Amino acid sequence: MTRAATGYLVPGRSWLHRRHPLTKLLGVAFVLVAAFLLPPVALIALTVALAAIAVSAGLVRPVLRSLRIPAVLVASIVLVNALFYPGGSDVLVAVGPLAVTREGLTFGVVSAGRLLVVFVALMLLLMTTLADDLLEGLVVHGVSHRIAFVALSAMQLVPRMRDRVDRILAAQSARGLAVDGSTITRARALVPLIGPVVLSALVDVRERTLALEARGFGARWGRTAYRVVPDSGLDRALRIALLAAIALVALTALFGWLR
Amino acid sequence: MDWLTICADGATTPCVAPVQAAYLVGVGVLALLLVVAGRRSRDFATATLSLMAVAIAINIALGSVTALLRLPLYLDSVGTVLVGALAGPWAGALTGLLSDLVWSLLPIPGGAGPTTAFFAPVAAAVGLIAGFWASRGVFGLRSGDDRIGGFLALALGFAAAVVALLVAQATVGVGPAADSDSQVRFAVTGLVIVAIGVVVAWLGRRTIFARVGDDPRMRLYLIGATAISAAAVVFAVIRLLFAPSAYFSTATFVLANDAGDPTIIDLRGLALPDPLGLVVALVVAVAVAALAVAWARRGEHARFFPVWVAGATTGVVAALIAAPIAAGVFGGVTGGGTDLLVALFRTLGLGVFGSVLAQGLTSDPLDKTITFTVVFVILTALPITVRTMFSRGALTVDA
Repeated sequence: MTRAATGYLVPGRSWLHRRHPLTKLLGVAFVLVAAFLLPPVALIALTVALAAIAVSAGLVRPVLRSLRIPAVLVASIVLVNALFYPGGSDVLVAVGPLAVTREGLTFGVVSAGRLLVVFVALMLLLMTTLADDLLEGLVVHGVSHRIAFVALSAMQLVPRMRDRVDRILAAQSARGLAVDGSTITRARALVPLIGPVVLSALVDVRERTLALEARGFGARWGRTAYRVVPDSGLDRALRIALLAAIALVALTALFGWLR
Repeated sequence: MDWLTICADGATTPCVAPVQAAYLVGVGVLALLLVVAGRRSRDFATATLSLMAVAIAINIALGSVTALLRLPLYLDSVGTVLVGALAGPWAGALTGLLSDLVWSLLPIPGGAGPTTAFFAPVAAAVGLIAGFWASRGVFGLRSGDDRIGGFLALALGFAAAVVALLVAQATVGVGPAADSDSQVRFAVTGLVIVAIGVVVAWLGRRTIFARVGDDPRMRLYLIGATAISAAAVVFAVIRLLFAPSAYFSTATFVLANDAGDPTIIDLRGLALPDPLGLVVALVVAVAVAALAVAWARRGEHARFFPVWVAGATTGVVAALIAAPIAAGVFGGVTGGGTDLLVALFRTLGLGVFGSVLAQGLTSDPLDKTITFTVVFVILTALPITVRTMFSRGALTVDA
């Protein structure tokens, strides 16, 4: 009935799959800091590096396919900025009242490029890491297991919520609710749908709480992990290197502003 | 006053730097908040934790529907406000934070990879403020309550500030510009507007709304305030959508269906010419006011008003936090239905930061008011055995 919440995971055994989730998370943090704090030229270097990683991990096709997700966002960032950039004066193309300015186009392309680089880095993390491993890795390094439970449980709940919507939709239409037809009909069908979905989800909270308490969730000591995420010396070295790189980039940018 | 020049002068890299610095500070605050919330999470009951998981799922489900429909709203904080009301501000903040982070990990529309994660500080702030308002009793007020006067005075101050803003816009003009003279003027105008709001609210609390207990006039005030605010919101929304240079005057949508062939929807005919549009808006607003009075007079309906005040103020704070993020990270464009509003405000002459702020101040108060109303309805419909499982469920909610 319920689909497992594997998210974007592409199963595999590449070197990137075998890295510790925390190492990959720090890698994403580095790309984020570098993309937004360094001058736009750095974006080219980051793109080349990410492309090399994707090729070596055999993830080129999934990454290219995932670029559909931010396509609308990127298109609107470039378009809105190219057309409506305040203070843009160097007109490249003019169509009627709309004009593409050089300043606007530059700003739009740089903004979109920054976002795309971070997006690809995050996709590489998500495609090679199961969310369970990511959170288990965080718990081993000191994040509260209670917060990890909330995040993981929410991830599992989203597909279950979708099933619940389907079930309640079927039940309500069996009682005569019109769910197909014009936009207005569908909008009106939302009310007798959302009410039961939300309320039954909230009532379930009690069941889940009792089940958790009965299994010792509130206990403070003696916790063992079902999943053990392997950590290697290489991972530890990589993490230290990435932390140093993040600090370096942040300091460079900071002194650039102070000057 | 240099930070006010954020991208107003058209320079690309240097002008964004202050916003990025602001974002870094925001991320620092966020990390601090995570640590505090994490420490506090030891005190969270198991019931609160499993409520938070459900609330995050509700946030993502409703938010993705709004994102799919490309509405200029978000509706992604119903769960956050719910947790804030039932389990307190810290639990609310943690719910908002985790919602946006989890959303970024899932292949669900609206998340678009890391997009929502950048707005996690906003969601956390919404959770905090929702918890604060709930502890002030917005979800448990009867029309005879002493605290009603405070909310009415706050609404009056809010209205006075909005009027002052409109007057300033019409006379001296607001919005940060490149030269330093107008920046000082912008800052002074902003401070004066806030001061007017505060003074009017304080005066209102001391004079008109100073009554306590079961004064029957309080109920009349509530009904009147409901009618006036409903009419004002409807009038503003109609003007924003249908006025000659507003939302629909530039609205052409390209929808791609599953087969991939695009349908172009041209809605520009909906922009009404001015004398007619103004009359239509006024007539509709008066009709809405009459309907609101009829509705608010029935039973305890008037108690929705404090909920709206809380929602609108939460929205203003959310807009103020979200604007630098949207401007600095996304160049003002986030790929949702709100982008049309941003483009509209840019054609009206606002800068990258100004147009995002204006869009936020338009979308967010409305969005959070709807959210708070939905949460209030959910809370009153929640079985008492479920409600009282949470630390504040018995105190903040009076169904």
